[in-house]
Amino acid sequence: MARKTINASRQRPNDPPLLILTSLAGGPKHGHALSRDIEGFAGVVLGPGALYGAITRLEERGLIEPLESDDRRRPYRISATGSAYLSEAVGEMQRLADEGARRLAIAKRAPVPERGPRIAGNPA
Amino acid sequence: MSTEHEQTRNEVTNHSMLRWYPARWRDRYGDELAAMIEDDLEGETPTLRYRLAIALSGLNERLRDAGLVGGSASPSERVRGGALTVLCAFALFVVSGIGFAKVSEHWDQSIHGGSRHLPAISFNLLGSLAVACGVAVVIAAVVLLPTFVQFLRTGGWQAIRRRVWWAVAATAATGAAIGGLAIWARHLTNYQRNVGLGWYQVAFVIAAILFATTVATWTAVAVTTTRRINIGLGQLKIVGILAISVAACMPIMTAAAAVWWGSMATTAPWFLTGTPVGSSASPWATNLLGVLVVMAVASGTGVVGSARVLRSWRLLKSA
Repeated sequence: MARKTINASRQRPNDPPLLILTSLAGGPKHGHALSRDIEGFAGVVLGPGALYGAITRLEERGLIEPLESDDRRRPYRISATGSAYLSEAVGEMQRLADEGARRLAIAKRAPVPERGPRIAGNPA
Repeated sequence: MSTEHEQTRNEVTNHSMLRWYPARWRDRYGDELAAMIEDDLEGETPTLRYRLAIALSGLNERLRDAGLVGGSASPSERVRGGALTVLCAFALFVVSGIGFAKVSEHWDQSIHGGSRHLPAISFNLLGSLAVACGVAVVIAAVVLLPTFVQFLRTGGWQAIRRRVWWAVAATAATGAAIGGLAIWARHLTNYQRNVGLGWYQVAFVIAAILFATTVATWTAVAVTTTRRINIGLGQLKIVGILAISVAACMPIMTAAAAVWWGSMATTAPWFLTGTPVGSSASPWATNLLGVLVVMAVASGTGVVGSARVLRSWRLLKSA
């Protein structure tokens, strides 16, 4: 059966899956540690329900993997597919940020017209 | 001592929040989520907002587990989920349909001649489609019967036992209520049955609620069972086609009921308000409006379910 194409470019920077993948790119973590880390680097508070909803989807898609643990606090790590996905998403966001910055720089350099443009045929 | 008591109470509260999640999800993530909630709350009592967020996430997982939302379920699970949505919608439609049958009782005696034409066509169309939908549901049940028997033989009874007993109890209560009501009605005049006797009206409403409960409990049995049995591809395709057919009929039946109301409001408004034949009366009937709203909700839900079946159909073929 054909695998569903994962479209990383549709992700937004504050999407829980992307935040979780970003956090796990720094090393394996369990739920509470993930939540703390995400709050630290993104300022986004993910509650247990939202966090575990996203963890479920990411695990189903093979983007993260659970690690063996004797404790109830099971850690997760990013998989190779997850790393590729995150890399694509980050690259897409980087291109968007670069384009935004470039256009802003052009807008700053451009002279601001004092009056609106004249319309052809319109008597002054 | 009080701290231990408080700790135990918090643990019970935290675990009770997990009940919003489906059993399969709890088996896999339940302990982890409970641990995270404990870490998150640090012994504090969860706020209402916190509980609500967990409840919504749990309900979302339930919908996903039933194949009703999301793309993570397999195509067959999605078709099954869509078909079960249609079944639930049809159960709701049946309840509203019984309400319509009561409201429209003896309508044909209140108007005569050519003015009967349009209400008769719409009423008969509704009745015929309701029978066709009932037959479709029975066919679906017959198609799944061998799998259901196999399910019971392999210990499935334990999974549905509680729901079946609830349904049996609701059925018995409904039977007793309707039987008692029928005996009582024999001793009452037409006027007393319809408007004159308040206690009879109260008993009628109780019987109607019991009937709705019976339909709901048997639907719950059907949903629980269908989600647990192993349905073959051929069976699933038949059930899917039947579900789409039933879902297509429900908006037509709703429209037929609306046409019947409109034509009766034009030709015999006295019937809708229970006033004497030929008198001027308002075409508005609150009970009929309620029935039509429920029918519309059921039809919409059915369309959503059938759309789920249709969207997953192509994937089902290639699976």
